[in-house]
Amino acid sequence: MTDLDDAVAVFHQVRPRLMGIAYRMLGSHSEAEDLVQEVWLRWQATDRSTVQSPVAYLSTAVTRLAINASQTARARRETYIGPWLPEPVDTSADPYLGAEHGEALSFAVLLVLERLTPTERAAYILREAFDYPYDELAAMLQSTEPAVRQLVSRARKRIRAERRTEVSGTQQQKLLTAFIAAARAGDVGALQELLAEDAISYSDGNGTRQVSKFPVVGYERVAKYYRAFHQHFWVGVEVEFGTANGRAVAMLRRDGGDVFAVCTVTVSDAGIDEVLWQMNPAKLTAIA
Amino acid sequence: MAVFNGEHAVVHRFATACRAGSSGAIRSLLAAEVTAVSDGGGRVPAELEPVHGPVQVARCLTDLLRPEMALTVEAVNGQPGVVLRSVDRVVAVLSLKVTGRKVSTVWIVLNPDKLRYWE
Repeated sequence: MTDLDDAVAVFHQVRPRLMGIAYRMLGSHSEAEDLVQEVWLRWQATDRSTVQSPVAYLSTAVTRLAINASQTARARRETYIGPWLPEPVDTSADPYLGAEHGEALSFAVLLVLERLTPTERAAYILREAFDYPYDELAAMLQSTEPAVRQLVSRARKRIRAERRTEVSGTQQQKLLTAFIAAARAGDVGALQELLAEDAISYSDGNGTRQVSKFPVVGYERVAKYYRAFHQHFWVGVEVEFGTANGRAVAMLRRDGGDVFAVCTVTVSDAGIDEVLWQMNPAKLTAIA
Repeated sequence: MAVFNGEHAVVHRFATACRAGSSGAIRSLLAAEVTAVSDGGGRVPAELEPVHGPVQVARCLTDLLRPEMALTVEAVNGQPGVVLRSVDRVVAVLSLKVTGRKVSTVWIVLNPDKLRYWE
């Protein structure tokens, strides 16, 4: 087998994945084919003996080309006549869209992805549809692992918000009430039950003591975090439910004093997405 | 996963209503807040703005339908969608978002450039 035969064989094997990435990035089958062709030309010209993992090498190449192409595609779509929709693909017939999961292929998701930055989109697609580990993603996107985690998490939130079938105000109030009860009891199981998988807890304390300076991410960590301080935090606390900014909030007072914390949650079909705490005294004067 | 789940059944009912060309039957499957987005790309006549509401969306669909067209439910982007063929040519590919038992979004791709891969 010649070296070129070998290059062809490797490329042929990875091609479905490259098409899958490029199509999801661009929403266009024909543009995806052009990109994959471009990658093939590069692959032929590459000193392949130095490439340790052809899959990683080729998917990085197609991802970077797709990120560049999406910038120009976006500009082109500004002059498109009428609404722009993705080029539909016949998924029963097209073998080139192979993905570990069928993720990020529906019109609804592709259209949300359109509104993200190309890098966010790439991070989401590579993670959700093709299961790339975060360290590999960081290398592919020339970024760091935590930054890539952030990109994926942001993209997931946008997609979930879009999928949200208008979760009612009553549902938000119900989940907030259940959350406060579970947090007060330090019931990790109940908390995990209420939280969406990549739930985030944010606190604005402006440096006030007892307030976490960093967001806590992930339902397990968020649940454990609330358990960790449930005993001393809730002593002497009375909770009053009300409305602020059009959503249900919980107002906390200690020993009959002024409100020292306001908590609210944002929810979707998946459960609680965000727990938001306002504990900055300067921002509570309107409520207290 | 069940192949013939609730969503799939709604798409089949939708296709049947479109085949019958019955505006009333189509309307009964549309959610109150339904939206239709058409992509003609300036190549074929299509609505230039998204259309909202069951009455308008049903009209947008019946305007598109012709008695000689064949409608089939096919795998469009990993989900059941509706393909419209006239003689041997694909005229439109519809992707649907189903919420509950109703269609809440209809994406209509009419731009021939985007239908080249549909046989």
